Amino acid sequence: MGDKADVWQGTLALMILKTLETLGPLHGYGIARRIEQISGDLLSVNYGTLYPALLKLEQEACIESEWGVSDNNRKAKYYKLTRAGRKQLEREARDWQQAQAILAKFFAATEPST
Amino acid sequence: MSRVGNSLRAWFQRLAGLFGKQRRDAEFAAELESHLQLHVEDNLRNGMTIEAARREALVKLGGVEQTNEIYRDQRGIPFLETLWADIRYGLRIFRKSPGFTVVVVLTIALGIGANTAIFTIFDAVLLQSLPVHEPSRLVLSTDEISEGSYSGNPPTGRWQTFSTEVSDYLRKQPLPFQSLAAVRSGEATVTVRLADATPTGGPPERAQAHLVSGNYFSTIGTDAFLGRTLSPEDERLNAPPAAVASYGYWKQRLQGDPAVIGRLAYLNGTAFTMVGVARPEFFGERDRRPPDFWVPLVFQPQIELMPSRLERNDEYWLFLMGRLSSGATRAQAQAATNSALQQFLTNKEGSKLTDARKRGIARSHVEFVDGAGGISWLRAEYSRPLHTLLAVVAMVLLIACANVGNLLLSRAAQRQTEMSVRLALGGSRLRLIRQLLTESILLAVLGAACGLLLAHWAVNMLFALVARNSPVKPHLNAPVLAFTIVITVIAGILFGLAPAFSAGRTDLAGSLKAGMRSLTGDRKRVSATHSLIAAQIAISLVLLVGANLLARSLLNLEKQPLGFVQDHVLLVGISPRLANYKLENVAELYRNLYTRFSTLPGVRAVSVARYSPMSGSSSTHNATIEGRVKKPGEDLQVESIPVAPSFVEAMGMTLLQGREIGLKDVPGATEAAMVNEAFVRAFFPGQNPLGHRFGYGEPPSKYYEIVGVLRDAQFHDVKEKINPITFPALMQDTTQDALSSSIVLRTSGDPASMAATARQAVADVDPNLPVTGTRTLSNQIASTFDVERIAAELVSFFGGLALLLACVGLYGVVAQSVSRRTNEFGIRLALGAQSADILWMVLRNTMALLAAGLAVGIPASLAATQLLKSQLYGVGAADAVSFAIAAFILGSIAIVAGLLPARRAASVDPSVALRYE
Repeated sequence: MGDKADVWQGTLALMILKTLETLGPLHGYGIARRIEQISGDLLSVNYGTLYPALLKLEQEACIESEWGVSDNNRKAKYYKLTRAGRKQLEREARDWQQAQAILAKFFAATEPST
Repeated sequence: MSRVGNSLRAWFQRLAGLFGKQRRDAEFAAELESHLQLHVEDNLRNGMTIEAARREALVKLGGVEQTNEIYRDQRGIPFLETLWADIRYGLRIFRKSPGFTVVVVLTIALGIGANTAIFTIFDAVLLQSLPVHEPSRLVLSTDEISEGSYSGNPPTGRWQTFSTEVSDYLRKQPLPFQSLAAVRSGEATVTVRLADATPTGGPPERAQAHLVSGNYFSTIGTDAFLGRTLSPEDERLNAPPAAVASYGYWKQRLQGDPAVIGRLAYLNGTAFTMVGVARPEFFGERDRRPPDFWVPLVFQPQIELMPSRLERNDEYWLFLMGRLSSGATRAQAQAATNSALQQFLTNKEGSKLTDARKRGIARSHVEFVDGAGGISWLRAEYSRPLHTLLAVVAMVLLIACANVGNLLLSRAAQRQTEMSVRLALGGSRLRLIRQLLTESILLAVLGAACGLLLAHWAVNMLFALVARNSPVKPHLNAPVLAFTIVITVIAGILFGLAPAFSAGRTDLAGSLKAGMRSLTGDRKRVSATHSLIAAQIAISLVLLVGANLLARSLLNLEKQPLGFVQDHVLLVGISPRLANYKLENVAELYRNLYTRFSTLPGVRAVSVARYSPMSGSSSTHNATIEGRVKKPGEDLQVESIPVAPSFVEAMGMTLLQGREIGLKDVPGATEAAMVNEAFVRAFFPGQNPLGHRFGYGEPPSKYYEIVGVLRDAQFHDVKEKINPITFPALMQDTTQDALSSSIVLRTSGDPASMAATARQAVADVDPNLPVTGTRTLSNQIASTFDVERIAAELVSFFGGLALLLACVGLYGVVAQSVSRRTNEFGIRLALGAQSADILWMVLRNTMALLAAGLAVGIPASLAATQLLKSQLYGVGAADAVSFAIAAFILGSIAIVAGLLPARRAASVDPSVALRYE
């Protein structure tokens, strides 16, 4: 379980940060829905796992939270990207793209021999 | 940078997450609730029924409890939270059984308190360096605690003390020292009169003055608290007299007044400017008699009221203290100093050098010793007893740990059901062990905290016992604290392990079925308990044997015949030197004192001796016997104790031959002296020594006729053999040393009650003559066994403590086994067993434990007492009587401890016992 959770945790954090960058301040439910919409049905995870990840990002000062009121007048906790979070997102996105590019090259190089 | 910053920040956040748990839980619950609401509304908008919408939202969220748990783990630090929970659980358990907790905590407190107290003193006396800058760079030419000087030919072996000439030469040589200081090998008592004291300010006060070279303070590595220290300028021959006061003297006698700097103090009548005050913690390089003033060496004649030693090349009165140059080693300094010393001696004697003298010079050398700890009288006296005590308290701690281990084991038996339930509910064994270890470490910490308080109190008390006036002050410092923490944790783990593993071994099905009670008990646990008890008995025996041996040694020391009658003697110290008596008029003073005291009611005999008996002072000379040719290499060392008339009578000594020194032995008459048997054995074996003559020095300045022979008496230390001693007539003494002495009074009543009368009588003769102290002879003798007495008392005390702990442990174990077997006893009694049978059955257990303990303890004691050998007097390390006494005491107390519960077992009512749960 450990490995899978780590990968999920890492990518989940990145998805959260990207969502907040795109949509601005949002509550947990909204973030969950957004991730689900973007990924289609490929990612179907319990919404609950989102909250520890949000807490961790908040502890790392990448995001901050505040209680607010939703469009339809519900009380909800809104998460917002911080400056540090924005930098973190840039860095992680770069890392991710790099890793992806390297892997892509690997696949491109090995395909002909199979 | 930001990554590290982020994770650091995150840890702080998590640490903060440990607090305000309820508020945070509530907030998260609210967040989840709002999440569900939002989701349900969305679902409703998509046309679901309200039930379906809610169910779908809950399913999508996943396990709420699980989410909560992961969330909580992320919020705080799970390890700390578990620890905190364990601690709170432990404390709750302790509150539920206060009796158990108090006994355990007190037992640990005693063990750890004793260890911390003794280690604190050990540290202060043996491990601490002088409170100066970089003490490790200090070296000394001697670490002899005896003070005093030596006069005669230059030594042809190790040089410990130096003449002015040699020390001046060496100090000017380019040796690998940052600085090299010369220090007088002892302090001098001086009279002090402050410049602003009123002319009728009563008798002058006395103080200790220490003569040092000008660079003393910079060499030892300390600076002034106020004003300045001495400097090389102060050492010049025509320098104005300067003195540095100690902090203690300044505080107590000069009222801590900063304005005293620059004022005059008359030391022995010479005006010294007080140029500074030393730092509060600084006490010089010796711990025995901390000086009140440090004075430049050039003022030796004024301070010691003796002819100058500065010009005398045959007076060896200084030792050297060096601060090594950075990077230099002691060996380098020693080699360089040796070649300089030999060079000096060769040059000085030049063409007169004989071959024998050349060899003598080649053997002349210094041996520098580590000066970091100074010259410590405490260290010399108490090193061995402190090592013994450290071993003793370690054994006390072991017994305490065994006791607590037993208590915890018996609790583990009581908590068997709890453990089984926790295991059955899915608690891991590791988790249970962790809980129990936490509890035992918690007990150790509580015990250690109480122990530290105990130690704090005990240290001051114990230290006052060994060295009331010592400038070394023990305090619970960092190494001591570290030591306590280490033994606490070791103790916690040590006695925590047994119950923890026995809980880990718990047989689930068996113990749940049987509940708490079984007829035979857990065999493994019982055997662990029994080994602990046997070990305690063995260790107690070791301590009791040790205490017994030390007590018997002390008794032997005290019973040792000294050769005089020590009761009913008062010693009154006087110092004619400080009252400006000179050789010409001191004989008259002695005669006047003699006359005045002879007429004092309650005085049966009176005399005066140059050295107070059993005070540790004496003077030793190379004797010359008239008409006797010294054999090559022969040692004619004799002690000299000048005495006034009736000395033999006043001391209660025995005159074997001839007469004693009397009133007719005055200046001008033939110089007379008595000698002891050892003297006769050494120099006149088988002859009549009366009428023969001897003298001090080679050749002597004058001869003394032997007029009497005294039975050997011990004047110094009963542990040493008696040397040849001579008793010349004090009134004929023309050496400077005659100027301080001790009046010896044989009284008819209690000698201590005569002290005031004696002081008054001295004042009647001369109101300016200072009395330096009064003390009974038996008191003075007893004080020579101080170290032995304190060692014997403390070892006995800790031996008693160990015995008490061991017996409490034994009692507890037997009592517990009796209560566990109440049922069994009921059955036995019901089946016709007699009370006596039950009593005997229980007692047999105790005896078996005792036997096992003794079987281990006797060989262990034999091995341990070997280490004590050097501290014993008149009793062997394997002394059968001491072993028998110790075993008897231990055996009888152990049997009593076992008998109490046994009697309870024997007196159970079968009908009650059978129903006993």
